[in-house]
Amino acid sequence: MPETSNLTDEELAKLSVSDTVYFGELISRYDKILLRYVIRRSHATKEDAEDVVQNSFIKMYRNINDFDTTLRFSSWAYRITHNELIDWYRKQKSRPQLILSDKDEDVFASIAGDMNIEKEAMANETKKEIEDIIKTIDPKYQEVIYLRFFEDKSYEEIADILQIPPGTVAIRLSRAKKILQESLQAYS
Amino acid sequence: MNIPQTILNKIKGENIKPRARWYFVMKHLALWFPGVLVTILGAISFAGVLFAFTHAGWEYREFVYPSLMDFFLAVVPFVWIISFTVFGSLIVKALRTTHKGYRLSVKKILLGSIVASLVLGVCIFYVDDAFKVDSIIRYPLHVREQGVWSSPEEGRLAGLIEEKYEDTLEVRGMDNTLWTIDMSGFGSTTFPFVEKGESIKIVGTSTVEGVFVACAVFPWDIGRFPGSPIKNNKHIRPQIKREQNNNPNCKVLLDNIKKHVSGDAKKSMKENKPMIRNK
Repeated sequence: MPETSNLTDEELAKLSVSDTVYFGELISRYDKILLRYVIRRSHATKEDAEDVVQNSFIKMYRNINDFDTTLRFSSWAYRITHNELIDWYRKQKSRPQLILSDKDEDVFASIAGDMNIEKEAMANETKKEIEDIIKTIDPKYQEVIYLRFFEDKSYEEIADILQIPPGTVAIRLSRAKKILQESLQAYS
Repeated sequence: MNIPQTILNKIKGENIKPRARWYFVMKHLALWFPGVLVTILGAISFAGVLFAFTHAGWEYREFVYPSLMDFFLAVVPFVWIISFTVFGSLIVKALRTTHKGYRLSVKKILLGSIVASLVLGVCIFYVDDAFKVDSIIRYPLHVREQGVWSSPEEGRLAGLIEEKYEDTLEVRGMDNTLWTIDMSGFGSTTFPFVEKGESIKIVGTSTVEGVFVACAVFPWDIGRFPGSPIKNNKHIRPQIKREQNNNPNCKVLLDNIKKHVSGDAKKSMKENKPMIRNK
């Protein structure tokens, strides 16, 4: 059994072509992260979400020779899962959603900070309002907000995941924040 | 469910293998193909715009078109301009589908493609002297000009020089009629482009059937934008691109043709510059 823990994701992806053990290590590193992503972005049951993640990993393995090592493996994995999730939405005739939990406290603080809302002023009502607004905005803005604040991805990574220019990511984030701010004012 | 184990079991159980590297190389090349094709078509379109403008007939414009506006409307290569615009817009779609194309902004793609099309278009324009592509896509230039230069009654005639004598030429017109061109007013037929086997354009008048008195003679491929480089390597084109009859009667004739073409006496008076150059 080869030692895999000290290898980077990108090295593991390269070695996966010759031995599935390396790919197994990649799956172990990302299965929970991607499962959380799918569950948060859809109303899928746990079983459905696991199927989406499983199909995504099979696609990654089939296309491992297409992995561009100049990209981060995580961006590529998110991209494939994101596309698989879109296929799932189509089959289910549903739309992307955002399922939040109590553990997202820090995320709301981060969003509020980005919108110049003082941390101290962040009442429970405000968090609830932000959550409600995020859930109703256009999925293309919801997606970038989710990846930026909930998954803590950089602009470059979001661009690689959604396959859009980094400039477009910046524009969408800025518009999303504006919508949030305006909606929040209207709310209060 | 243990996801890692389930996935590895599926890979082994169904004998799933990674697709070969060459498959992706071919796929990426195929994705680049529309982008490259669109850029080349854009380049051909731009070469078409250049070709149409430089071969618009600037030197004999006054004998053919009533006004400058009519001239521009007649020569603007709408087909090429539209195709250049269409292919320019398609390039964004084509390049976005490539491997890392999504990282490029619309501005970068458009700018890069337009610059590439312009540079390539200028190259095509210079390499393909007769611009054969234009002839294939639209219709040959000589066919386009056939109507204009097969009007001896309007004072315009074009054809191939079959024989050259001291002061006359035998020219086979585009409708296969053999014309005797009276060049006596020029005092000579010794001009670099007036050679047996060459095609010429003549402005003049027909007084006797089958005889055409030449008042101005142009090389066939004249019509370039003034000052644009001469590409024809068959012969050295004279500095004066139009050889004109020094017979004073021709001034009246040429003025009459111009008046007839413009149909506007006032305008004709205004533009009544001396047409005959003293050699």
